[in-house]
Amino acid sequence: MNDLWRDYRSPGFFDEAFDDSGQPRRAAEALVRYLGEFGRDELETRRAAADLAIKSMGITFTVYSDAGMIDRAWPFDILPRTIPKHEWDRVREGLQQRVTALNMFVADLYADQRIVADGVFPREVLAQSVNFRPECVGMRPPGDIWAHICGSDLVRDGAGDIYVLEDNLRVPSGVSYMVENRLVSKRVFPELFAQHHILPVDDYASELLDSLNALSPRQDVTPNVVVLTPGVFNSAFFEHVWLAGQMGAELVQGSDLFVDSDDCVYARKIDGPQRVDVIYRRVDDAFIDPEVFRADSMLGTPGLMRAWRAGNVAIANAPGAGVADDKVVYAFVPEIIRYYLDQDAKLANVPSWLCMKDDHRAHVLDNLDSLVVKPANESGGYGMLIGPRSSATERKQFADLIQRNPRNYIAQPTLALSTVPTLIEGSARPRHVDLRPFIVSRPNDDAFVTMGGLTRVALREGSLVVNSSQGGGSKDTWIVADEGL
Amino acid sequence: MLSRLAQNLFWAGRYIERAESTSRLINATSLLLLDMPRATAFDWRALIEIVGAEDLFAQRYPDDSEASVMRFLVADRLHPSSIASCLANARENLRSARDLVPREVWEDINGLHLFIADEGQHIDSRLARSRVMDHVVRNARHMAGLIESGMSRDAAYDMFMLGVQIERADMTTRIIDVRSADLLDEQISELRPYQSVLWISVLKSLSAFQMYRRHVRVRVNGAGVVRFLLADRAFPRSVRFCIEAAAGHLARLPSASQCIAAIDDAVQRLEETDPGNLTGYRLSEFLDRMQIELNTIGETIQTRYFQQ
Repeated sequence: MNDLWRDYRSPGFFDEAFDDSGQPRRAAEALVRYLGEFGRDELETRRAAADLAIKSMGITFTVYSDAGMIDRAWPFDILPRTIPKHEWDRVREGLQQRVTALNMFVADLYADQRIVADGVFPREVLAQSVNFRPECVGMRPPGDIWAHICGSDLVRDGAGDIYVLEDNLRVPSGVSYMVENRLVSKRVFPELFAQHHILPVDDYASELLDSLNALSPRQDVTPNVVVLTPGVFNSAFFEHVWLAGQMGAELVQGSDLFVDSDDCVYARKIDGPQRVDVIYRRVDDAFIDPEVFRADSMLGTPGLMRAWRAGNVAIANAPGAGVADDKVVYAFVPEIIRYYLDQDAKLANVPSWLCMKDDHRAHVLDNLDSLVVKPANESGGYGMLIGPRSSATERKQFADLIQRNPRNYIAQPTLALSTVPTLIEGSARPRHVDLRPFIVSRPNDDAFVTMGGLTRVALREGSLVVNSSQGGGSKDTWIVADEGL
Repeated sequence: MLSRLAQNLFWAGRYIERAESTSRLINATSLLLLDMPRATAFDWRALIEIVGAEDLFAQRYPDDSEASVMRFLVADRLHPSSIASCLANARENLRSARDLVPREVWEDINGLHLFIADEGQHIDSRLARSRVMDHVVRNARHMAGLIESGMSRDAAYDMFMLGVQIERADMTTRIIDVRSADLLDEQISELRPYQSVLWISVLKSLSAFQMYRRHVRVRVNGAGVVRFLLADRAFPRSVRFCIEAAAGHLARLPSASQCIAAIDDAVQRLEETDPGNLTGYRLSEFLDRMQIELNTIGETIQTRYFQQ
């Protein structure tokens, strides 16, 4: 082996490429051997090729700064992450089970609320949920599916076990980068794809389009599907453009649509209004209809909820689906799965303490320096306390927050996230990763799960923050077929 | 095509064209200066009149020196038609519509926007200014080439070109309007010996001198230039050519009859009257009418396609 792997160690963590004795794991074996033959120059050439590909393919994300918004090149590490197919198959089943149960849960909350009546899900948690939308009660979307697209964040702990960290049921993003990362690594390591059986990821957009088409209220005509974006200032605008392009759907903003007196939705086109059947919305539901939700919203379309309730348009994800995208609800998912499916959860939850429970709260307040505290309804890593890295002042502040609004907080142990070799200044270094697969639920069929997902990597040594807005990078994720090993 | 994107493309076309024609105008005017007697107090304010921003300029600048006028026309972001503002607006319009134009156009407009934000600050020397203006013109031409050779002839193309043609007709009219007022004014006698130089400068500011010589074949004079720039059927910056080209784009867009009718009215006015025969207030009246016709065309397009 050459320089690349010689000093590579990840003590105290589960490394996804190497086992504790320093031997490559089976799924990574061929990759490790192959890259081991590369000199530094060759690796640098490949890295530069990846940068060039990302630039020329225009893969960007948007960040805000004092100087206005900037499109930044997507941060990508060329060393792929490998997961064996047999392991992924189990994860996929677990995700399907989880999302099926979550959809049944949301459908129940907006119908009879049996799970509350049966005492499995506390009424006071529901009562305080900011994402429960009373306006959606009584609605029955096609196939009783509310969360059509879900992005669940998975992590491995020190023992190598996979846990679900959170479920994103509102407007999860990242799938475009998953597909584009694969295109980049095909350009960078074409020969590896010839040697390995790496399962493809590029069928996502077709699967999504089929699923959206199936929701159309007009099954006698080719459905008109649109992607609804908040606009160019949104950090995920690249992805909105990408999705629309891949599906051949129009990318619209709220002001491009209007609801006519027939309660149907139309797009304003130069050849006149065009009926819209399905809206894949990437606007949070608080903003989609100023008549019903936030009246100050400039991003929505007045009357959209009226059209949706009349069954004249399908909206994915359905308004109100975010009720299950709540870190307190998260803690109940194992019970939710048991309640609706009469099964044990196939994918584990990270153990969570609910600050609303007196005994849990006492434990959390006593152990703030070792726990991660999360607010119920934030995303993107905002508003969190990472105990082991916090100051006494921050802990005091969180103790106050928790006591004032216990329902809004959960706490979890600090996980020893797994590592993956990452190219840092010409050498492979262990860096922590997570994984976001995407699950597309559809009427009358099993949910579609992406082959792997988007691997995000914290590029700074020791850091656990993988968000691209906060210095995170990404990797191509290879699900490697076992028969080739 | 979504009305919003149609509007984005139309305005991207207009703003890129406006940035280019303003750059051209600045360069031609600076060159003209070299030919003028030192004693002539050359009036830079004419440029402000051409872009129609006298009030705003007076509010923002203490004098009408060359430096003030240039700052206002090139770099001032509070002036909506400065080159820097035009390029920023073109970029904002293309941002949502970037998938509809060749990718290099987006790269060009980004580059040009950054270029002018920086270099637009260093235009006090005439040499530097002329380089900056040349760069804008060349890049605008590059984008035009990319669009011409790389864009399918679809609604996106027609909307972009519609904006270009309307803007071009508008600028040509404005330049003739302001210049002819000075040149045809018998009172400004000190300019009389320089009539022909001045009319050549008008042609040059529209890159029309070479074609004028080839096709008109008489000594450059006011009547010939006015006729050529307003009514010539073959020169691509003449008002008639531009609005006829606009009608061609409209003919391919859905339900364009009202917009085409508005253009027909303007064309008919150019057919009925030979603008070369007009002088003094009759010419300026005619030009005012043309401006109104152009505004009507713009408004008809706006109502028909962008405000549904």
